[in-house]
Amino acid sequence: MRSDKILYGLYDDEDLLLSAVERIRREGIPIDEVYSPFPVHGLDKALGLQETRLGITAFIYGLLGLGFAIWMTWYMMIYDWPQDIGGKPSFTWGENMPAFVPILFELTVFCSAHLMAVTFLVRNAMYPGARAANPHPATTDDKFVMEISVRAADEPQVVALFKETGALAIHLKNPES
Amino acid sequence: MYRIPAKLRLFAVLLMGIGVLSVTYGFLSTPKNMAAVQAILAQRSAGQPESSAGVHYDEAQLRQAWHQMQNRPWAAVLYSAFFFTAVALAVLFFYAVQIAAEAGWSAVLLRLMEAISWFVPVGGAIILVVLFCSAGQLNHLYHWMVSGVADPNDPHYDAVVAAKSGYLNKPFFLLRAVVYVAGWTAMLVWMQKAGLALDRSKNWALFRRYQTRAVVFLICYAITSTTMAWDWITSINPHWYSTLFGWYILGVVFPTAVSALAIATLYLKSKGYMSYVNDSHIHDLAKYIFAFSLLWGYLWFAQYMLYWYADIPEEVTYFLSRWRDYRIAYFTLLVLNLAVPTLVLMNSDFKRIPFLVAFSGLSVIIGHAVESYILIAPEVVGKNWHLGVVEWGSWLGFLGLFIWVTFTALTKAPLSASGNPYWKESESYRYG
Repeated sequence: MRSDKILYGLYDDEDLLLSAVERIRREGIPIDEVYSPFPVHGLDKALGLQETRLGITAFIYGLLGLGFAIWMTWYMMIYDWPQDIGGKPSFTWGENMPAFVPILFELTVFCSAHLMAVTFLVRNAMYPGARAANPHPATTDDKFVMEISVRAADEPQVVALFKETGALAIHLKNPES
Repeated sequence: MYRIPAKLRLFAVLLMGIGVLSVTYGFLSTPKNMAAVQAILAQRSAGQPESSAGVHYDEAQLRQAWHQMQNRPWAAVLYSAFFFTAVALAVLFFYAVQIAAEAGWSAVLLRLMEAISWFVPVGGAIILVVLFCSAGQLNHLYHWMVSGVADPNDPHYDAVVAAKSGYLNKPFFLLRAVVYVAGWTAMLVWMQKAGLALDRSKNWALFRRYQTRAVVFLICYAITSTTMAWDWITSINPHWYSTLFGWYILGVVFPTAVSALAIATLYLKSKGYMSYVNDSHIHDLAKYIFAFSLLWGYLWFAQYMLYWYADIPEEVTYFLSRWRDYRIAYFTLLVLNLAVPTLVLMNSDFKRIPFLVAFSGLSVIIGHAVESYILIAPEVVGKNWHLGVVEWGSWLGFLGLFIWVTFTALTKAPLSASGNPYWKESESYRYG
């Protein structure tokens, strides 16, 4: 669908925004994006967003971290420079495993959390020096903006809906301009 | 108002009957004299490989084995009574936390929590009976209670126990036990009264009073939950030290308490009561089961690893007796209490499926029941243990009593705490 114009509705309350999103989607109008200064609880469900797959990547990164930690503790403490751990010089990884559990745990969490955050940034193209994509600077402060691209014929209906659902201001942008 | 179905009442009475019968059987089947003990030990070593067969026992060993066999039914009663009482108490703790924190999600569950908490006086009274019998030398559960243990001229003298006799002496021990049970019961009544007053008049000042009482209980619980664990469990083995034992017991009873609460909620919901409980409430309960099972795993491992690493003789004896004589049961705990709840409830959607919540809740309950047994048994029953008719029978008997007390208490007050200022918020609670 070719859209002629982009409409922005500015809201100043998250509950108002949530009910507006639900209302507008009920009318069958697709919402392109909502900009918010903080994560709004339930907004992903209201927008009908696809379930995130970050959880799956977190699990894979966790396994990766666990595997790395197992290799690292074995290489450092058993193979390369065998250590006497707690007066139990057995020099096997298995029998000294309890001593390594904190390391296994920490590296699992470390890899899972950091690589997940990196994945999130890459996936959203939020690399250093990226230009801000939010249409209105107030969305980094205390306002919420809903973005809807419409054909010229639908414009009055969307504007009316914005007004009805309590939008503070409505902005219009022509893609060509 | 809730009414107990006749079937549930019958089920509870049946379980109690099983409990009474199996504990009676336990007491009747203990050997009556040393000759019988010798016969049992000889029979047991007959099935062993050559090396251990025909071992000769001297009189002290025989007497110890006899005492352990006599302790078996007592240990079965004590661990079951302790398990259910501590779980009911943890439910009361959870209840007080909800009120003190002005939690919005949980108001629909408050009356059920109150009802479960009513097991505290009942189970506490049974614990008191066991403790008074111990003090009267009717059993050998607490070896520091043997007379002369603090007297340097007595053959029973024990320097470690003597050093602790300022705290571990019979009158103070029994006084503390009575104060715990009476105090918890009084505070339960006290909090419940303030809660019921809200039903009659919706007054914010009344809620503040309710909240103050909950905070007072929480402070008392913070102290008594630890000292109760020292008194009733750790003092069985007064030579052993653990600096996180109170926490550990909280880690045992808290996920169990939330599991019991979740299963009771799901049961009532399936019978058509508490229709205002939605899957978001179940989701939250499941999150508590998940999180506190991880806490238990963390505490279990923290305690184990430090002792394993330091390898101090007086500390490792605790784990050695569990490793030698209770190995399979002891390590099954990690599966039932940690692996099952964390792996099953990790997925957000699974926390809303009643079957999976009940399944992992049941796993946690059974796992921690076995654990409560292993907290007590290695010291008092030693090698002469068996998770058999007496132990499970006693546990089932207490389960029957627990069900009976809980659902009877549930009929005493309206199921919905609709006077609570957070009732509306809780009723319309939606997560995600």
